[in-house]
Amino acid sequence: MTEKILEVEDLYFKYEDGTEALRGITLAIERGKKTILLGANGAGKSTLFLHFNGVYRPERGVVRFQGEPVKYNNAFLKKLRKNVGIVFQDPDTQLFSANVFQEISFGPLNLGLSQEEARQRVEQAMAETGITHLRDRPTHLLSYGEKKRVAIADILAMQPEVIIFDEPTAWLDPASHRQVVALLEDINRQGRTLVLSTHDVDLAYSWADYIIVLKEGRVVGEGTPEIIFRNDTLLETAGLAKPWLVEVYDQLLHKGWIRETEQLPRSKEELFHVLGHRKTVSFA
Amino acid sequence: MFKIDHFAYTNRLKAVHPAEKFGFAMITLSLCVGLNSLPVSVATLTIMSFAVVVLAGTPWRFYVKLLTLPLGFLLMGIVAVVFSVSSVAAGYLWGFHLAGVYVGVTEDSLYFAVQLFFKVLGAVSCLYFLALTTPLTDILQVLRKLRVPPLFLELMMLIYRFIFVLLETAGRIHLSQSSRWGYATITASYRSLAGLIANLFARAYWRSQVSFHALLSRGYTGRLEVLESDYRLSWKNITVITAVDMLLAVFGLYGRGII
Repeated sequence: MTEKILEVEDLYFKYEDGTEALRGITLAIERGKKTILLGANGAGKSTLFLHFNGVYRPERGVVRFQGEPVKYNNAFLKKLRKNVGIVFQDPDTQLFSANVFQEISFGPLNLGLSQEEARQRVEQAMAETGITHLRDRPTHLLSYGEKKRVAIADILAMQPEVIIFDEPTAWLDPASHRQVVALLEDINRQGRTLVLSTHDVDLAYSWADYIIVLKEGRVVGEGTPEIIFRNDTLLETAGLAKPWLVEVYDQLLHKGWIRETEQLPRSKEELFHVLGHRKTVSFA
Repeated sequence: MFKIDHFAYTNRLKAVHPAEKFGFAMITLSLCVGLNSLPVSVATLTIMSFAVVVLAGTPWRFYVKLLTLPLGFLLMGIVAVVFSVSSVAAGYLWGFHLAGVYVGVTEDSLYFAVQLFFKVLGAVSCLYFLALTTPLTDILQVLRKLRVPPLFLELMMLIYRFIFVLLETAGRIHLSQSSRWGYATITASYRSLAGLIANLFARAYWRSQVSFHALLSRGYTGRLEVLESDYRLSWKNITVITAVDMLLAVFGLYGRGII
C-alpha cells in the first residue's frame, strides 16, 4: 500500500488582483515517488507549490501533510516547512547571502540545530551537490548552473521529506542539465519524495513515476508517463508536445519497421535496443 | 565597484581574520584623522598603500586609479583652504588685490592645505584597504561581534546581495533596448531610460515578493541568521598591527609636542 505524503482536496486560490490561479484542484503525491506537474505557464504550478508548504493559504479546500490537515499556526508551519522544501525557479531570487557557505547555513539554523550540526549539514549538502570548491566564492560571481546547485544545496541541508523543484532545468546548458538531472536521481534514491514542475516533456517522459497535467488551475489528466503521452487529446488540450521518443516510436511502429513492445522505450538506449532487435529479426 | 569586490575575494590577505583587518583600518583611520599631523597622514598613506599593493597584491595601477577618484572633490575643498582673505597685504607668499581686500596664499594656509590633502588621502587609503581586502560578509561578521543591531546588518546583507541582481537586470534591459536602437537618438534615449527605470522597479517589487516566499519556505521567522566563516586570529598579525599603530601614535603625539 502506497502512502500519500501530500494531498490537496478541492483547492481554490485567488490572487489579490483577482486572478483565479487554482480552481478546484484535487491531487495526491505519493511518498518516495517522482511526480511531475506538467502545464503551460500560468497553469497554477508555482501557486500550488506554495500551498504545499503553507506560504499560501487556500481560499477553499484542504492541504494534507501525511494525512493531517495543515494548520496555519507557527508550530505546524514550522514542521511543514522543515519537511517540504522548495527549490525556486530563479536562484537569484532565492539566494540572499553573498557567501555560499553562509547562504546554505540559513535553513539548518532556522531548524534550531546547533552550530556544529548546522556546519555538518552544510558540508554534506555542498558535497552532494558538488559545490564544496565554491564555499568561499561570492554568490554573484557564480555561473547560472552553479547558482542553481547552491539553491538545491540550500534545501538539501534542511533534509526535508519532500523536495519540490520549480522548473529545475529551465535555462540550463546541456552539461548543467545533465548534472541537475543526475542529482535529482541521487536525491530520490535516498528515499526522498520529489515533485517537479517542468515544460520539458522529454524529461517528464523518461524521468517521472507519475505525471499530473494542469491547465488553468485544474487537473486535466494524470497517470504514468506511458498513459499521459499516448493520450493525444489530453496533450492537445493541455498544449503539450509529445516526447521525441514517443513520436519516433510511433512513426517506426506505423511504418512497420518495429514490432510493438510490451513497454514503451523510456530512454534513448531502450529505443536503440528495440531497433537492434528488429535488425537481428529481419536480416539474420 | 565590481572590480573592488573582485579583489576583496581574491586578494592575498583574504585568509587573514577580518577583525584584524577591520581593527587595523579603523585604528589607523582614527589616528590619521584624530592626530591631524602631516607626518602621520603621509605615513598612513604609505603604510596602507604598501599593505594594499605589496601585501594584498592589488595591481598598483588600479589602486592609484581608485586614489584619484576623490581627487576632484578634494581639490575643490583645497582651493577654498589655500586662499585666504585679509585687509592687509602682509604675510602673503603670493596674492592679488580684489575689491578692497587682499586674496592670496600664506605659508600657513599652504601648509594647512597640504596637511588636509594628505589627511584625506590617508583616511581614504584606510577605507580602500578594508574594501580591497575584506569581503562584505566578513565585515558584517565583525560588526555582529561589535553588537551592531541585527536590523542594520541584515539590511546591509540584503542590499549588498541584491545590488548585483539589480545591476544585472538593468544591464540586460539596457542591452535589449540598445539592440533595438533604443539609445540611437537623444529622444529615444530618454524614453528608453524611463522605460528601463519603470521596468526595473516593477521587477524589483515582484522579485522581493518571490524572495520573501523563498525565505519563508526555509523557515524564516524574522532573523537572517547564518553560520560564520572560520578564521583564526594570528598573534603575529596583531603584534605587528599594534606596533605600527603605536608607532604612529607616538610619532604624531611627539610631533605635536605632547610627549
